[in-house]
Amino acid sequence: MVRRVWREDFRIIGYYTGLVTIGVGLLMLVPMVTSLVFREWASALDFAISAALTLLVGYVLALVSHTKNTPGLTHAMVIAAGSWLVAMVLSGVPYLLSGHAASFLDACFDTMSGYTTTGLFLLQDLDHISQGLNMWRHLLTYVGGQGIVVLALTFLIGSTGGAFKIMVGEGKEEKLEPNVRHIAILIWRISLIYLGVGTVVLGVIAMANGIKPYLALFHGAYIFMSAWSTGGFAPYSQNMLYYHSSAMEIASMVFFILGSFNFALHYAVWSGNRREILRNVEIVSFTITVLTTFSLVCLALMQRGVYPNAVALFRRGFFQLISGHTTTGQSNIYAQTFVLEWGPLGMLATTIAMAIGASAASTGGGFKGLRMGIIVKGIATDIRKLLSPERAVVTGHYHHLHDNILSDGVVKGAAVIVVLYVLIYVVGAVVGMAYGYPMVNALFESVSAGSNTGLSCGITQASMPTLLKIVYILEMWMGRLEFLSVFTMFGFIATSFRSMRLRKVVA
Amino acid sequence: MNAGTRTKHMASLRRNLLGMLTEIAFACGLIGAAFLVSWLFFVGR
Repeated sequence: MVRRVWREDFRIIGYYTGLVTIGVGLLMLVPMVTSLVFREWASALDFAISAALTLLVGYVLALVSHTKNTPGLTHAMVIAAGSWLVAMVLSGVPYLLSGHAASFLDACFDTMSGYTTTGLFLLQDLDHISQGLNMWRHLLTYVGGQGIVVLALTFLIGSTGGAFKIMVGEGKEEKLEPNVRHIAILIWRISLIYLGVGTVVLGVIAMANGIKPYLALFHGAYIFMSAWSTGGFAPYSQNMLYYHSSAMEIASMVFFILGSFNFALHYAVWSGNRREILRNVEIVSFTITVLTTFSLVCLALMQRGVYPNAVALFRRGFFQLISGHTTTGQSNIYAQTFVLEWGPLGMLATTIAMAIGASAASTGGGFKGLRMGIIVKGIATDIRKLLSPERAVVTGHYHHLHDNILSDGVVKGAAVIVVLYVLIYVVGAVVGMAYGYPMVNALFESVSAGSNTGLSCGITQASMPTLLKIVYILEMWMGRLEFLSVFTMFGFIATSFRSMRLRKVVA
Repeated sequence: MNAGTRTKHMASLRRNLLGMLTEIAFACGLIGAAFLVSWLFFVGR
């Protein structure tokens, strides 16, 4: 039986969503300062207006619905899903004011792409946007990777009751520490240490490639934020191709492979359990699927004779494949190269890699290696059961931080989420095909959006059909939050209407 | 900060650094394995 919805439920949801919105408003001060440093007065004004508006909305929401009650599981799910929508709309204001977004829908597309660490973009004349807007794009991706709710939890939400549930709603369900605030701080600590290391490494490489020192540091920070968060944005429209640097590509690859790891794995390895990296089911599954799908890409590219030697094949082929598999979306080839040179097999192998994606509770998207590992182990256990004597008790195990028993419930839970992902991939592909795009291209782009990857074969551009933009936004949102919180939000809205009708009937 | 706390702090820092290096080594190993795969494809064609 579904419970009724009361006014207090709205207050709890409104209050916490308001706090997250205030967090987003405060975040806008970073690109504003960047614009001031670069003397981009118009851009600084855009961010000042946007920050004021966002802070006002957040403050009013928190004030009007102020409550001391902590959220339950339903509230938490609705807050997580709703906060991302509110953040998408308000974060789109600077894009619109900059004049680089053709419409507010395009601006929302880009902010959702940023927050969900997808990396698809509709912004026009990307090569001439302000440093402030560039900082904002990459900051969205960096914060989105850690989770905007995690950000708010760290700095704004003092109480820990119910806070962990909001994090679960955002797809970060690993409980590393008993205190949720400590988990959020831990996630930020790991990310910020890597931010320092990554910015210096990538900045030095950019400098060695002839970019001015102060600008090289910004480029280093942008590329790191994009790589670590498995986002895929880059300051220029040519993405990684702009740098023509294998050192930059390899350094970026290292950071997005690390970014695709589960935060619980980072925590275990950083706490001294270094063997975990070789034993963890997600990493084993990830390594196998990366090498398998890369072999398919090699086969496709060798058949077509696209690259003249092993170095070129590795540099282009592996970069694209691992970028897809970690759901990063950085690219060192042109979008059309997939269609014109890689062909159906190459595109399909990359599509499979994107669909599988990164690790659970990481910055990445897709089914996740954990679920792939669990399902494969579940199938293997079932086969072993069939081959064993009838009286034999066969139990499966998988190693994720510690040895776990593979129950039917765990396998079923993983399979349900995988089916839901396949469903959104197919829906997006069908809508693309309805607009006349070839099946392989439509599937590639849909999986890229749904798995929060961001590789494009050329469909995503400002002139694409409006409905397709909306479908991709929904795919990005659902894919990032792993469905549960989104479905709970829809259920909550439906229940609210029913409760209102019931109250009218009683009155 | 007394000597005991400092020792604990240093041990924690060393663990973190070794953890970070382990992760980077794994990523480099994976990239190396992929290079080997592409090289084998060219050798074996």
